[in-house]
Amino acid sequence: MKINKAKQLFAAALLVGFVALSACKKYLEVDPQGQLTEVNFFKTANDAFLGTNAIYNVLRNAFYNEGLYPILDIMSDDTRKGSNPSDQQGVLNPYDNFTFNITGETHANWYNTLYLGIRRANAVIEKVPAIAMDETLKNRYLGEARFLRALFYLDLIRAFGPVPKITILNPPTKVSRDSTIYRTVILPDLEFAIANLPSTYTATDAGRATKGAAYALRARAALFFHDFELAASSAKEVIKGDLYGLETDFSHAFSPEGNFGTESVFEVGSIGIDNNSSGGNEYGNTQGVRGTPNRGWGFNRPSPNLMAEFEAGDPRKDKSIIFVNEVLDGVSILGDGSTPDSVVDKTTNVVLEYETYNQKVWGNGSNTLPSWGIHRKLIRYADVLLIAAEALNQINQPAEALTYLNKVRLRARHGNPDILPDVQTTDQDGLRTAIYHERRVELAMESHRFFDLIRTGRGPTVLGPLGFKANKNERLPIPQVEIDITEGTITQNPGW
Amino acid sequence: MKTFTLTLFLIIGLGSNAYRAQAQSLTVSGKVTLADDPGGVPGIAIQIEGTTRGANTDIEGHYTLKLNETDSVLVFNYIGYAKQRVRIEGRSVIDVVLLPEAITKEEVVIVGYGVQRKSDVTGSVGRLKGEEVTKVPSNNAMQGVMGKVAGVQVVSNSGAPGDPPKVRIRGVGTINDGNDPLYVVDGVFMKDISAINSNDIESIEVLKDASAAAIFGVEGANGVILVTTKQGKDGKVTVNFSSELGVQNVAKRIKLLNGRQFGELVNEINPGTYNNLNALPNTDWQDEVFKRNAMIQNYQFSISGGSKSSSYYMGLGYFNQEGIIPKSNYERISIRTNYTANLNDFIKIGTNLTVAPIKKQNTANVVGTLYRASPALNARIDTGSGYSEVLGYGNPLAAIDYNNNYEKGVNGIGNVFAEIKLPAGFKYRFSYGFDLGFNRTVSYTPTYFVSPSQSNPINDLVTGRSTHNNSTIDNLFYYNREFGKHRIDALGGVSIYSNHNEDLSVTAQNIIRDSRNLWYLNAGQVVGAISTETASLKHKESFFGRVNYTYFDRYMVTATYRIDGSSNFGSNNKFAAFPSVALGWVLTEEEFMKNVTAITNLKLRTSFGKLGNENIGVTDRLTVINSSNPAVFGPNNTLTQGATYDKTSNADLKWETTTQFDAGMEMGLLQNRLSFEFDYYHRLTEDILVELTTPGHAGNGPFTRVRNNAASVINRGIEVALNWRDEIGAIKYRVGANGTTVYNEVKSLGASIASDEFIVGGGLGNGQNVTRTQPGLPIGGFYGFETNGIFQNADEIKAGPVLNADQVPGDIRFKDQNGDGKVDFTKDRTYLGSAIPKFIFGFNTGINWKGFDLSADFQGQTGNKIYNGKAAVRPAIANYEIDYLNRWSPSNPSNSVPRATAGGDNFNPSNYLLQNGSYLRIRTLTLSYSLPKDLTDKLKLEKINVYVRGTNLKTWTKYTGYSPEVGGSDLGAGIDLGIYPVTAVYAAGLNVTF
Repeated sequence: MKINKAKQLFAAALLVGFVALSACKKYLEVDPQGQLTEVNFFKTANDAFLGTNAIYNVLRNAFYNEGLYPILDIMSDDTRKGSNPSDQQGVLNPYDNFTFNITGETHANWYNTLYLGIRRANAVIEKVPAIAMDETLKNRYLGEARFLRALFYLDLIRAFGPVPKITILNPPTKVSRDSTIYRTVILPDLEFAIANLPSTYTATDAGRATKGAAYALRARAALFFHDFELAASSAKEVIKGDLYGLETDFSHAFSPEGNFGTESVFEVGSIGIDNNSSGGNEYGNTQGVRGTPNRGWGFNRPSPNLMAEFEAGDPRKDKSIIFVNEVLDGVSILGDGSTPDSVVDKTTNVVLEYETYNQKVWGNGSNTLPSWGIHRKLIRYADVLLIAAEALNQINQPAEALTYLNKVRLRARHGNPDILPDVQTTDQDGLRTAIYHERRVELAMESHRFFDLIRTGRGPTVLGPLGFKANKNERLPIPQVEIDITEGTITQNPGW
Repeated sequence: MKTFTLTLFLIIGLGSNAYRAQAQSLTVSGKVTLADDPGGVPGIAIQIEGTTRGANTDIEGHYTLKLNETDSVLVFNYIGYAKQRVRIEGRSVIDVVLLPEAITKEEVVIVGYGVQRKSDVTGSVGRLKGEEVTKVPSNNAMQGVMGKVAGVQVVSNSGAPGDPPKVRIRGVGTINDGNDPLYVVDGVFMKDISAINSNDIESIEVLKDASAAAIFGVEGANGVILVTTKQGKDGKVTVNFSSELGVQNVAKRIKLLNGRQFGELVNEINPGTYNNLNALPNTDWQDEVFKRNAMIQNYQFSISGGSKSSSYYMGLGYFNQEGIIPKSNYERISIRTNYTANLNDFIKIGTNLTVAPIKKQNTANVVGTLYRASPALNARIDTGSGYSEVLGYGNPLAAIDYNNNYEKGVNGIGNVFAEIKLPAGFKYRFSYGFDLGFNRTVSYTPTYFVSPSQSNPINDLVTGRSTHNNSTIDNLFYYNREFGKHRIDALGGVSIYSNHNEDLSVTAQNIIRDSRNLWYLNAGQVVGAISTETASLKHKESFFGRVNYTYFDRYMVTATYRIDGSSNFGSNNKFAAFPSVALGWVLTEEEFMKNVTAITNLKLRTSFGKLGNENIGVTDRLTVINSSNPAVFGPNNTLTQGATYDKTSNADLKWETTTQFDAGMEMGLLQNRLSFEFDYYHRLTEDILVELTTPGHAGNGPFTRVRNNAASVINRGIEVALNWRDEIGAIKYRVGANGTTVYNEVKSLGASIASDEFIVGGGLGNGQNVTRTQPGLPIGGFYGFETNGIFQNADEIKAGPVLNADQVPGDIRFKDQNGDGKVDFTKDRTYLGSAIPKFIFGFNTGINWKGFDLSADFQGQTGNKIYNGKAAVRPAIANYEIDYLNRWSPSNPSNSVPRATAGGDNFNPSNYLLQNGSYLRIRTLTLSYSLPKDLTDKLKLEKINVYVRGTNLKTWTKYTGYSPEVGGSDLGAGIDLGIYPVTAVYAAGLNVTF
């Protein structure tokens, strides 16, 4: 009796084992919870929309802003590191005096983040063509992705020289540097963008790449590579018509009043909140006034050398630089108590810096949050005018060059006939010098100065006193970890 | 798999056939009792020697057997008791008393899914009794294992209350982050045993070799730790109460520059920073932050007992530990119920259950900050927030003050089981095991402003809920039988496992007041964009079997096979198989050894097998879509959803495998007063799962790593354990020592990754990477420049070789390894040492005299290096250790410490910041007194014991940091970026049993 009972139980136990066995195949198929995977994304028009937006997201990534700190300006003669002398001294002083080495983190973070943007652009460019959807809209998304890819690549090749050319979603580890990116990626991408992007969007889409932005970016790229004909023609495509203009008040070119305004060719929308996922951009916070009022960390301090560049009475000086004790939007700028009001070179008695701040990121309000909401104006119409002027002068069309240059000066003058007279010279060298000067004062602390000096070969003479070494500092070093991981298929820049 | 199932059937089928009774004529009956239980016990196996026939005792211990004429001997067998052979000699009634094995020296040990006679074990298993584990005041039993079991390395990653230590068995085989061994608590698989009260633990067994661990297959590669909790014993009721109270202090301070010394140094870097050195404050941030005499308390109350039909153990424990950094603490209540009932003579049911409510407060991680913070500042000021600005790092006191992070949760761990004894030595066991957890976290940061980089413009509240639900269903078949000189002990099983985690985190801002009563979402505005909910689900299915065969008590074979299927693997790699085999030979059972009286026990054993590690998330092989990449468009700054591919993945990812060989010897000399155990092990781990830094152009962004099957690594070495115990008159004493050598070498790098020369690792978080994994060298070896003194003058720099032309006198001279006359990153960096100790050891001694017992445990390691990473990461000028007093200056031509700089080339990864990590520590020192028996008898107590104990009393090391126990992920192990200091604990305790 007992034995029978036991046998029944035994059979039941075996049955349990069998059920388990037969269930096994299905039981081991489990989908990821709470998220889609690559297998089921980029299938719908909305996926294309989301994927395109995600590329723009990188423009607010803290490290997109030159690896968090504005190192391009800090390396130039426009600014010094700023903040308290010891703050980020180990990280940023090396960029100020060109002693940074190849394991430095800031430029490595920038490098990585530019490729993060490229990966997201490549995702759209690779996957969206197969989606069944409205072809015009599809091409617009592709145009936006290719514009943004060109934007990221232009920063990479200007800063690091030839870099790996990645145009697919999942590239191999071992790749080498490619010196044709300007020709084989940037120009075709921008050509596609020009052909497929609209000139304007409905207001709610303001901030997306436009045809004008693509022309302007091509002008910027062409100028850097001394492709003056293309730079001039591209810039003139932006200038012709009445889509763009200059803000009446120079200040509005940066402040919230000018957000998506007439002068804005391409800008990064952001919200005054202190994280990226909620829409914030740390760009303004890193440079905002330190101390009282508290608007940020106070890096990127305008140099006395930059102040001296402004012509007498140029209102742009006051509108670009916040001086301690000035009153801005009704707020007294007292600055940071623990930061010396000026730094003097002990041996020469020359004042190296005063406590000053970048007014182009000034955000009004009661704390640091408005600084997070500062829209970074990546391409301004004034820049396009000056690109046109410079390129035209190079191809011997000084008269037309002068009209664009003087438009910028006219606006800066703000109705005061006693300052900033029109430039008259048609001498190519003289005009070039005048345009260089104008770029510096008009576009101060907007990350242009360093590249301007490099592309015009003025790096050693202008930056030499700051530590710049010719045939080395024209480019940032490739981060050592890239060379290590690829086991040397990526090589280092000369001089490093 | 099919073949395997068939085998399972065959075993079972054979058994059933064997049961079939033959024609029988004679009968023998009787009663079997246990020496410590005269009442009679059911389920004792009686077998007729040389046959497959037998019977079990009934509920009162009676048995009846029919005999053939040829039958001559009965064998009585009951686990935990000595086997007895009795000649029948024509009798029809045979009563037998079985003696406990402790008396006959036949111990039973816990093995995977069962128990085994110690003498039959062919694998390498380390054992530790529960009372040893409780010697270290901690919520985690593994702290008590440190230094006690050969081959086991336990590293306190941090002294923060409640943080689990890192456990490595036989070197670093895998380099998977956070890859601890598998814990099996009463049959339930776990990754962390923090919720288990050490006082409830009966024993811990560490399965070290392939044979012992192979039954756990794809989870066994890092070794398996079996935790068995206490069960009630048949007989009288035992009540136990214990309490312990202790104080903790930082075991060691780091010697840093004081305010004036720091001021002088800063003036060398930035002349004129401090004009009046005499007026500088001198803040010792360690004094400011660390608490003195932080309390630790542990109370335990338990009742256990049993009868023939059931047994029980119930424990109630309370553990409370304050951290040595303010606002960190850990509190655990543990409720343990173990119950077993014999429903009749063949069905047993039972449950083992722990419920553990836990509360925890986590403080701000300020250890790295207080190391770097300038001492030439007052910690507190009269204005603003009241805290001074500490440039670059933030004020540590403010960081603590504004951090409010609480956790509370309940864990339920346990199983219910039923065991059915079947005829002919078969047994079936069903078990449902579970590990459930519900956690709530709340973190509130008020609005504050200390300095521009240390402020929070709007208060925020992050509230989280998480649940985990692991469950396992085991169907196990056992077969246990003796046929004359043959003994077979077999196991077959099917196991189904599921793991489900859900994690919710919601952020709200503008909480209306700072009060803790309002730390609920209702009191503020929820920020949708940064609120998340994630989940993961994993299923596993396993089939396994094991056969132990012993012949003549001398020769043993163990064969094990397990097949694991996991939903985490891709369809191309769903199942994995793990076989192992082991042999044993007890020489002392041989005739030729019978005359060697000095040797009481001598056993040789060897094993070979394969184990796995499946620590892969499903998202490691599939790139997921990240839906929180919004853009901002339009004049109203509208947040617009963006979604795209997250980081890259590896579709072909599979489990890693470890192939392990073990040869060992166990010896007992002089009536086992001296015992000696020796093992040689060799582990080859292939397809190691590791997260690697991807190249920038892969587009994963900064600080992102992707899991790969990379590298194969060997670990080999010897383990020795030696114990001596004896008595001289009334003095009993014991001495024990154990040691393990580890030789670790990377054999090759995997084909699945592009890197075939090395893997870069050990990121410091400042862009520097200080380890490199390359064939021929230990895994995660430190990599950088070798220093060669300090440049003394311009001529030396001119003569070179220099790293770059900017180097000035006082800078470190890096060695030109290839002798090409220049120093560069590509050619002149080299292997500098390893974080893996070459030798890990522990020794313990104790002496007992008339109730007094003094014991001391030591442990340590040698041959490892530590990278003092906290000195390297210095975005602003940071404080320096006192060796900087000897820094180079024109007047102090030091050749070891460079000039003062804020950063730059002197901080390149090099052996300048690499230190010797060897140490020897007094782990515990205990003096206890037990009241004599005549006194306890008068008090009607069984035992009363009081003790004082010191833990981590002294550590001898050259390492300048808080503790040479530096954990970290395994490609970046041994990098000290500011670990929470280890504490010295002084405690007193009381233990009463009645």
